[in-house]
Amino acid sequence: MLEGEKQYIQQAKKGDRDAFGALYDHYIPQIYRFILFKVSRKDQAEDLTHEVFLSAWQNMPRYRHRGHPFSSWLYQIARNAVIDFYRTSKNTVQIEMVNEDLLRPVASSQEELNGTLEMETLQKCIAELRPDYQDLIIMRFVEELPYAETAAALDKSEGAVRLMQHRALKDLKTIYETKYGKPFHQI
Amino acid sequence: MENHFTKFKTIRPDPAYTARSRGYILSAPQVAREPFSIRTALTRAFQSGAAFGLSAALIFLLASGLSLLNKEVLAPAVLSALDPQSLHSELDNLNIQFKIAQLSYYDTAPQKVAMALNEASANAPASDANKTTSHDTSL
Repeated sequence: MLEGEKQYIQQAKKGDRDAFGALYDHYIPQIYRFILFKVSRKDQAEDLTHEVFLSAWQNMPRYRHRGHPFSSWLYQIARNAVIDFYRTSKNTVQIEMVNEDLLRPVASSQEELNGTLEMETLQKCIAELRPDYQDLIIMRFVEELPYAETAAALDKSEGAVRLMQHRALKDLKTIYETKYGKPFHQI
Repeated sequence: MENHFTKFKTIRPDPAYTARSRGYILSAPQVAREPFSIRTALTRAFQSGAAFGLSAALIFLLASGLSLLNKEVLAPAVLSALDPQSLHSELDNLNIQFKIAQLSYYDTAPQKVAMALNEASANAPASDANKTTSHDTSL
């Protein structure tokens, strides 16, 4: 959470561009990553991220703080944008078509290279999960959001999120072991 | 495993894209929110109600005006002439009159013709009759 976030939100609601700029700078990396995981193409991820923040800026006066972090509102807009994207474009991302370079950090040693390959593997397995499980895994494990924030973003209770997480990890394990023939804990 | 997940955090958007997108978003107008008030709500309700009422009145006036025009102007002059029943009865009457006139003609015509022939033969000169006789004998 951004320091002084409430203040920035109040100012942005009144049309303060600098205040919204601060929120934008803080949240764009995680929203971009979330969308990139879902669409797997850099240009589409950039377009959708832009749409999310433009929509957030235009709807700031209607934003109501209900005790949830601001990021959960942004995640909700992002999830709707991704759903609309797939509904209108009829695009389906095939695992083989995913541009792996986008999700691959630069490796400088053999150990890092092995880690990078494991990340690719993990990304491919996540992409085979149900959309809501993908959202949960990205939020909980990539962005390390707490249960409460994840629950607010997914519009579910914390208990439901815990149960979903258990099932999502179980599905991820099955996908990994079926696909690569080795135990999931070796990642 | 968690280590691999968190490594994804190194993925960041292109700074050039971020700067361009940020500039565009912040230069876009923010949609103004109108604060809720009872006065505004009542005004809007009145406006929509008035618009509905005026539309209904206009439709009523147009419909009644056309109806009046039909009854008082068009109906006696045009519509009665176009009435199929009156046209039919008029046609029937015409046929009857025609037949009666025809019958009276056939009734009186032979007598008049006979009288005219009689008159013509009685008034004919005798020389004409002789001419015919001499002519026949010469043959």
